[in-house]
Amino acid sequence: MTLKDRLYDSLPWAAAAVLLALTVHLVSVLLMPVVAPRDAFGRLRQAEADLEVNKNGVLLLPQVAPGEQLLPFEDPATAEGVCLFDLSKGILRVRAPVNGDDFVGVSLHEPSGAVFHALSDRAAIKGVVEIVVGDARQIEELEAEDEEGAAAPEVRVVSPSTKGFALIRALAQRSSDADAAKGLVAAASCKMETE
Amino acid sequence: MSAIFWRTPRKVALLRDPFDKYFRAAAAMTIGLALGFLMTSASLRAGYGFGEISVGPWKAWPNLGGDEIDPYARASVARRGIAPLGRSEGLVFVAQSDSFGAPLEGRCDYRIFGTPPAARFWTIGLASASGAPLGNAAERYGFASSEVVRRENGDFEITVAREARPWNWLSPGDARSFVVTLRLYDSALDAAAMRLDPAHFLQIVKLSCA
Repeated sequence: MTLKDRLYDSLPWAAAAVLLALTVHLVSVLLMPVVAPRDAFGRLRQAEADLEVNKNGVLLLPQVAPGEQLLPFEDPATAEGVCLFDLSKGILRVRAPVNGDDFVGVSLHEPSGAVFHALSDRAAIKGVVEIVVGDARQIEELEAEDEEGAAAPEVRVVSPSTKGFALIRALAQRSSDADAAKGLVAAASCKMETE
Repeated sequence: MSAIFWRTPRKVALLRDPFDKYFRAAAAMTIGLALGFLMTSASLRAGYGFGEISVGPWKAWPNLGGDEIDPYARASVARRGIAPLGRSEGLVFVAQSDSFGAPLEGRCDYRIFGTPPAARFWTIGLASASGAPLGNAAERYGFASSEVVRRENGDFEITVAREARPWNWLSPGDARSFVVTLRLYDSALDAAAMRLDPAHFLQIVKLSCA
């Protein structure tokens, strides 16, 4: 058997290896959001067990500092609060008061951490950013209850997943404003509303 | 002579044949699996999927904060455990190297200057490559647009150095390497404006190394 013959002989096996590699690659990338052991939701759920949820239903995250950081790449200049939701228990209503001067953002995340909706304080109505999160059926029901022609007082968002979390961020413009930013987040509220 | 000629291939064939296919199948499987996982690991390490914008050393992934996130970005977000800013909240740029392409080192001093893109607020901070803030004696991890000390014309400079420096100073502490993050809150940057000129963006220039 010459070298050429050997090469030809191995070709189908090489092709099989490449095909398998591609399949493994695609499957592992697609599965990663489901199987990643330390995704944002997992980290926050652990934090929920360790820390206390305040009376407004918001889990205030510790100020980002070396060794004191739950999620990577968060801004140390922001105060943060989290609400984990499970839509099988009802819809989630997030209300975040704003003061017009400071940045406040509310982002809604799938368990993987990917954002499915976000609003900044520029979307606030009467000084409050208000979002209702539900699955398609819950939001439909909510809309059916609306009076004709009346604009909904809140932003309604259909969640692509049953579980997930809302992250409320307030930016302290100066180091001395850190407490004010914390106050803004602490004044936000999350409620699970059952139909 | 002829006996050896005749016997050797037969002996080899006898030894190999029954196991040859199994051996090759096992090799193909092992190589395929290893290659597949390597590809995944490399692609997730490289960044956050498609749609990367790079301006000089700065990189951002605007798709990360919206519905149009691709499977690579989603996998990368889950793997790293981050909760990115929503696109309507802002955009984050990360620089792993200076404006000349050299990796950022903790033992070197850098100057960050120039014009950040239009945004209601921005913050510039240092972090480890995995996104953790860097411990330093000053306990300062970044500057916000409203607190940075500026010249009369509004320009500013931030010096990155282990030891204290006048004006705006950030310290990487004892870290050997670090990244610089630029977070734009309520930024007017959109997909159409993504052709940013590195010369009119923030520059990171190495001053000296210890």
